[in-house]
Order: sequence, then C-alpha cells, then structure tokens
Amino acid sequence: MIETRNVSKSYFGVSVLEGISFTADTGAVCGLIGYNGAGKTTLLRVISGMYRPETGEALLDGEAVYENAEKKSRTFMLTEDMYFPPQASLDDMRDFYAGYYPAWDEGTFASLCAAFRLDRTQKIGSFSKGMRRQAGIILAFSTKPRYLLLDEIFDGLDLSMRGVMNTLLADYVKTSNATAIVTSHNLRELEDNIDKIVMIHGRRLGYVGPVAEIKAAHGTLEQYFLSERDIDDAAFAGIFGPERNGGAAEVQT
Amino acid sequence: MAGRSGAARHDVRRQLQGSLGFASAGFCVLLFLIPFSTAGIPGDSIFSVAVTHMQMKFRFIGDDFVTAVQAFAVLYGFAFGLLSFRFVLDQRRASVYFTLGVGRVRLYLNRFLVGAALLAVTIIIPMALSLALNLVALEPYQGMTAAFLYVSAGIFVTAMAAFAVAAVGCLLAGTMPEAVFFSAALLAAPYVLSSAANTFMKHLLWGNPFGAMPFLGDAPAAPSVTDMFSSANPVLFFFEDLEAHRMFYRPLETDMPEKIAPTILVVWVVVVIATTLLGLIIMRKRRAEQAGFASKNPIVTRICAFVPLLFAGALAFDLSAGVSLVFGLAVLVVIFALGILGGDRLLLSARPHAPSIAVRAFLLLVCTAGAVIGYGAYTSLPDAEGVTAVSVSSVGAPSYVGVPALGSSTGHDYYFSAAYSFTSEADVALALRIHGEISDGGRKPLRSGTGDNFETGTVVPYDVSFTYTLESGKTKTWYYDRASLSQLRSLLAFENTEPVRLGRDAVLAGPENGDASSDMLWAREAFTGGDIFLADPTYRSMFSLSIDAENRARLLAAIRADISAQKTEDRYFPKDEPLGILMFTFDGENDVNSFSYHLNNSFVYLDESFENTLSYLNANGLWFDDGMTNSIDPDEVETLIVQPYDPYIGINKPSFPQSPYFMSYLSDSPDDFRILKDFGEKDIVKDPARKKQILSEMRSAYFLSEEGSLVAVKYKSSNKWVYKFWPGAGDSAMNDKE
Repeated sequence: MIETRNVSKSYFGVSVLEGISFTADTGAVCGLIGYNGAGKTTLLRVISGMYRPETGEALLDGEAVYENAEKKSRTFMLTEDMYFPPQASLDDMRDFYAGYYPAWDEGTFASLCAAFRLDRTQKIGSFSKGMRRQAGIILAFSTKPRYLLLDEIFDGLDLSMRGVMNTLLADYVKTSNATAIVTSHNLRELEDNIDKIVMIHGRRLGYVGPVAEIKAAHGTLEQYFLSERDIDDAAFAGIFGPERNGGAAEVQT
Repeated sequence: MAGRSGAARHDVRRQLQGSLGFASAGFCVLLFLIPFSTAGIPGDSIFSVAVTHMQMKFRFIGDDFVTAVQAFAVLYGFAFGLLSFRFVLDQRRASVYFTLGVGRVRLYLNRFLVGAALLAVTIIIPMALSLALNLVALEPYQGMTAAFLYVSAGIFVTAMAAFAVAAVGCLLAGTMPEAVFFSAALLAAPYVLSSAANTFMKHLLWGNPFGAMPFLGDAPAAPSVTDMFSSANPVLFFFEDLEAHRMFYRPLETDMPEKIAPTILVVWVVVVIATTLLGLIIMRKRRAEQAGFASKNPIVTRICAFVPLLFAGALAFDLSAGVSLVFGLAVLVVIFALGILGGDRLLLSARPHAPSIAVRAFLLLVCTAGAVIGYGAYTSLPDAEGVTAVSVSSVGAPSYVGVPALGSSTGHDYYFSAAYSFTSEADVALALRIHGEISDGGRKPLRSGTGDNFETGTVVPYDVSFTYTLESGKTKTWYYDRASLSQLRSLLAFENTEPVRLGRDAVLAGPENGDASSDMLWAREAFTGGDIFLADPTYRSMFSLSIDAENRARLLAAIRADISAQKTEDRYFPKDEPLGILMFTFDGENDVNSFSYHLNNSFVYLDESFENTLSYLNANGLWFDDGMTNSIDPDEVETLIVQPYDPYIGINKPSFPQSPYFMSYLSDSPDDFRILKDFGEKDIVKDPARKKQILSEMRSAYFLSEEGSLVAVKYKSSNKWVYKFWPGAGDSAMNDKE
C-alpha cells in the first residue's frame, strides 16, 4: 500500500502541494489526475523518496520512504523524461539497474525486449520517443518493483501500445501484489484501467475515490475533469481567428 | 540478486567504471609531469652527469615542472570532484540516483572514496616510478624515501582538497556552470581576499611593505599577504614544500636534505576531512529539486558574485581610483538593471537569509578589524628602546657603497639600491626621526614642486625602506616607493655614521685585503682591479695612470683617509669644483670617451681636502699641474645650454628611479641631458657675464635635492659636450634664447 499523510511540498518558497492525504491499495492501480501544474509529478517524486516533503510523509506499507534504501530498492519511478546515458543501450541499462534492484528479473527483461521488438544492443539515443518510452517500461517491469510509479504512462505510445501497457500493468499489479500509481492526461484510456482516482486541484486534494463513483455522477472521467476546470474560454477567443458569435463567425473589417 | 550491500557495491563498481577514463588521462599527464620530467628530457635528465654534477642526490620532479605539477594537482582534483558529483546537477540523472535503493550518505561516500582511491593510485604510481628512476640513476640516498613519501602525500592532499571543494560546490549549486563557477570561487577566495587586501594596503597604507616590489630586485620588501597566508590557501599550501623537497642538490655545508616539517600537511588533512564531513551534511540536506536551477542558494550566489567582484574591483583599484570608480558605478548599474528585470540573480534576494547575513556580518567585522589593526600597526613607529637594529636605504655616492647592493645603469643614468644596518642608540634615533618625517609626510603624488616648495614638493620614484629588528627578534619593515627630494637629502645624515664609514673603508680596502670578486661589494671591484684615469673637471686633460699593486694600495689608503675626513656637505654640495677626477674602470677604452659613471666603474672627486691623495699623486709624478685646470674661460666656450632641473620636464614621466647623486660626463650630443625636455627651444646662454657665472658655479658632482639647472657646454676646441649641474635657482637664460 502507498500512503501519503498530509504531504505538503514547496519549490523555493512557492507552495506546490498542500495537505495531500490518500492511499493507494495493494494489488490496485491508482490514477493521479489534475490540470497542468497541479503537482502530480511532484507528488510522485515525494512518494518515490526523491523529494523531501515540507510537512507530512509518504509511506510504503507503513514505512516512510524518504532515505529508506530498502523500500526504495522495491520502488521504481518511470519519469516522463527518463534518463539514459549517452551511448547507452538497453543491455547497458540492464547492467545499471540489475545491480541496484535486488528483485531484477532477467527473464522478464528478455521477454519484454522481444515482445516490444527493441534491439538490446542499439543505442537508446537513436530510439524514437515512443521507443524510449517502451525501453523505460521494460526496465520498470524488469526491476519487479512492489511500488510502481508511472508518470504520463501513455506519453509517446501509439494506440496499440497503450492497450499493451494497460494489460501489462493490470497483470503485473495483480500477479505481483504490487501497488501502482499512474498519471496521464489521456483520461479515456485511464478510466477503464484504474481502480481509484486521486485528483489534485489548486495544490490540494480535489477528489479521492473509486472511478465508478465518478462515472456514476458525471458519466465519464473526462466530463468530471472538465466540470472542475476554472479556465475562462472567452480569454482565448478571437486571439488568432474571427470572433465566434454563437453558431456564426463574425468577420470584422 | 543484489541486497542493500550488493547495491552499494554495485554503485562503487559503476562509479569506478565511470571514472576510469578520466583517471587514466590524469595518470598519463602525471607520468609526463613527474617521472618523465626528471629523467626523460634530453639535457635535463638525472641520468646525465652534466645535469647532476655528482651533487644532485635525488630529484622526483624536473626543475621546470614544479608549478605545472602543483597546478595540475589542483585542476585534476577539482575536475574529478565535479565529475563525481555532477549527477546532482542534472534533473534527470538526479531523479534516477535519488530513487535508487542507495541512501544519500552511501552515494556520497562511494563517490568520495572512489575519487580518493583513484587520485591516490594515479599520483603514487608516477611518483614511485620517479623514485625507481632516481634509485637507478643516482643510487639510494638518506632522506630520499622520506621526501618521496612526503611529496606524494602532499600532491595527493592538494588534489583531495580541490576534490572536496568541488564536491561541496556541486552539492550547493544547481547547475554545472554554477557549480564550476562557485567551486572555483571557493578555491580562489583565499587568494582573492589576500591579494585584494594587499592591493588596498599598497595604495592606502603609506609605508606598506607587504608585496611591495622595489624598483630593483625580484623580491618584495616583505612577503605579500598572499604569500603570508599561502598555508591557508588550498591552491598554494603545499607549493613551497613541494619545491623544497622534490629534489636535493647537495650543498657544500651539509649532506642532509632539508628536514621535513609535516605540520602544514597534517593541518590540511584535517581540513580535507572536515570539508568531506561538511559535504556529507550538505548531501543529506540537498533538495533534489534544485537540480537544473541556478541562483537558488543565497550563499552560492553571494560568493559567486562577491569573489569575482572583489577581484575585479581590486584590479581596477590597482589601476587607479578613477577606474575603480567607473567600475563601481558600472556594477551598480548592472545590479539595478537586474532589479528592474526582476531577477533575483546575484545580490538582490528579497528574503533575508540568516546564515548569509551572519557570514556577511562576520566578513565585514573581520575586514574592519583587519583594517583598523593594520592601519594602527603601520602608523605607529616602534619605540627606540625596543629596537636593536635598523636597516635604512642608502642614497650616497655609489662609488663608496659598502654593503651588497643592486644596481642598474644605462649610459650615464644609474640607480642603485642598498641598505646599511645600524645598531647604536644614536643611529637608531636618527633613523626613527627621519622615518617619522617620511611617515608623517604621507603619500604624495609624483610631481614637481615649484619655487620655495621645490625640495619638499618634488616627489620622485625611489626605494626607501626601514627595517627594524626588535628585542623579540622579530623584524618590521616599512617600504616607500617614493620620496621628496628633501627626504632623500635627509638620508645623507647617515653618511657620518660608523657603519657607513666602515663600509666605505671596506670598499677602498685594496687588493691586499682579498679578492674583490669574492664579496658582494661591487663598488670595490674597480678600485682594486680597474684601470685608473685622471682628468681635470673641464675634461680637457685626461691621463692614464699606470701603477703597480703596491702603489695602488697606497693610493687607495690615501683616498680612504681623505674620504673619512671629508664632510658630507663638501662631498654632496661642494662649494667649488674638484681639482681632479679619478676614474677606476675595467673599460677604459670606452669610458674615456664619456667619463661617465656606470656600475662597473668608480669615481673619486679630488677637492682641496684630499690632502693625502693629492700628496701621493704629486709625490709619484701622477699629478700634472700644467695640464690640469678646474676653471673654464668663457671665451673658450662655443655653446652653453641650460635646462632647468625638473624630474618631470620630459613628456614621459619617470616611472623608474634615478639616483640623485649627479656625476658629470661627456657626450657627443647636445641633447643628452639626464632628463630630457622633449619640446620647446633650447635655452642657449649668450650673455658673457651669465656664461661666466654659470661656468664658475656649475659642479661636476652634486646631490640633486635642490633647484638648479643641468648644463651642457661645448668648447670651441672640441666636438664633445660636457654635462654638469648648476645649483641654485639662478636667473633664467630665457632672455638669451635665439
């Protein structure tokens, strides 16, 4: 189980998160959503032990994660822009991670590389964005983490790969009794594959609960998301094109 | 599968693998700088007897490579530290490492230990190779092993100090450029602080000797502040010991290498350990989110701004107050511009930061205290009772300088720097009195005085120093890079003292008292071994005197006696022209054409008081009454040119001193004045009465501390111009201009 208790975080005096408390259950996938700059990635980094919160704590199965080498060795965070050393191949990254993660599974690594059809000896720097994402996914699952944090899980993946990702994730979490938190702006893909939603809104927790509840109340996750937004559409109107007046486009001369 | 310890071991392996390339490059450089430099360079190898002369007992580093080794040790350790800890500066890399199952302490220690191990190996192996080469080329020698161990340890600790500073720099900074700049600023800070302090002392503290370079010589009047605090400088603390212990060339007086005093090294080992621990604390507290963002740490931004600003400001101040004012204004403009742009970049943090405020307050306190104490220390002269000896600069006639001296001469211009030491109460009191007058006079601009203010207001470049030895054994030096003409004149008061008299006696001691070349009294050489010429002050009669060693000794004894009896006033401000001029020279063939002083000859101006000398010359047929005269008939003069004596009369202001004791000379040119007036018509004297007056009043030798004129005379019977000094304000010859 992943738990945050009253986590607050600020960057150089600017508050990013305030009083975030929720749990992500073992054997389940929790979706973390929010508008741009809401603090999703920051929260994931606090949970991964990378960042120290100003207040509160992040716990993995009841133990604080910050500077907890044992817990961190069972946690993998797939960041939006993962680091690969220049000139490194998948095999090189395998050499890197295998030594740091005690649960590293060579079989899983080989199987995933074959399934994704990625050349293990080719330099990752020559991969496309989507292929680099796939490389990260391979490494993430190969470390056999108990706690999996996936930031922008579908970013760079084509439609078919997104489906693969959903399947892999659901299977892994169930069979390994792991806990996963994922973030994505692709709410349609997300709502069918997660068990719980956590929404961050205005630095604070907006909603925590089962996806089914939101669907029951709003129809879809998208509709719920849009209903919570506080963007003024009128501010964008007419910046580049003719003003729109109801169903007609008024041309100004 | 790797457990926690497995992950830590894996981290060490990864770090080693990642650092091997860089360490290998450093190793190759050190192979060149150490064993190759001492044994592999043709013409400078320890395998060559022509180099070792059987006296060199060991040499680990070639003579021309010491600075390079020191510099490389610093750069090597610095770069290695940046390389080892750069992962905290990149957001993506930091994301990886801070999420691994290795704690921050372990991450830090692993990198530190790998760095230390590789630095040690890549330093010790080249040193060991050098030791092996020495053993083969020069055979084992006492102290060789101790020196090898000490030098190796010193280079290693130097590299580790830079490594530790770079590590701290990375951990406090946000980006690699900021880390490089900040770490470099930290390493440079001791030098910048000390050199800036020295610059301000040089300009604001009248009498400051620290780092003050005399016009002659390559050693400062007193060690610079940078040198004094070199042991506290991470870049320089081992440099002196490196130079001292990296080789041993056996001198005659001992067969033992210089004793090793490892205190400074032990201190710096402690400093490195302390810095390492500091880095560990910073690592634990470091915010991972700082990666990729500069200017987020107020201490870093302030040091990054303060150190280069102080350095540049001191440089500007050294150039001139005006330049530093412009520089300061430019800095203010930049700061305000940054404020307008809304950037909290350098100095405009809106939030008070307690540690940085404390640091600033402390620095301000230290600077103020230092300035007050320093000012007080150097405006108060020591009490006479506490002084056992004082050394004072000499300004007298160079031919009689009886102490080791440095000198420079070009044509008829010359300058020498020498100091006599005085121990008697009276002499110490005299020194303190004169010193007090110079000190109270303050630093005056280099320029000419006018009218009644000429002597006191004309300030010229000159080396004037007073070094007091106190009862405690300590010495204290004051150095002045300029003096007024009246102050230079006041130093002539020492001419009557016992040490100066004894010095003169030593110069004129004669060849029977030993080989002149074996001592430091360069003024003695010409007296004891040079050709002797006698001329009258008009230079129309010149004679070469041939005397044997025994007679030379008698001549010098006579001169010695006469000079001892001569009054200072008569020597430097004579009322009459001498009866004759003796020149002792090793280059008679050329010197007879100019009869001008330079460092390799010596002159004696024989006035009526030189009874012993004149008596000797007459008695031995060496005086020629018929041919010699010290007066000139105006009718014999074709042209007489007068130029006011003014050190600043030329277009180029003097930046190098000239000794104030004028000695006459011959020249082929009418434009060969000691100080040349570049523009304007020559003042040619035509009036016979004026001519007669000048001819009778001009002098062959005179101490230029008062108003007067430089005179050039051409006889009708000669192509040469005779240069003399006409003392006194006199009437201007302007009315006689053509």
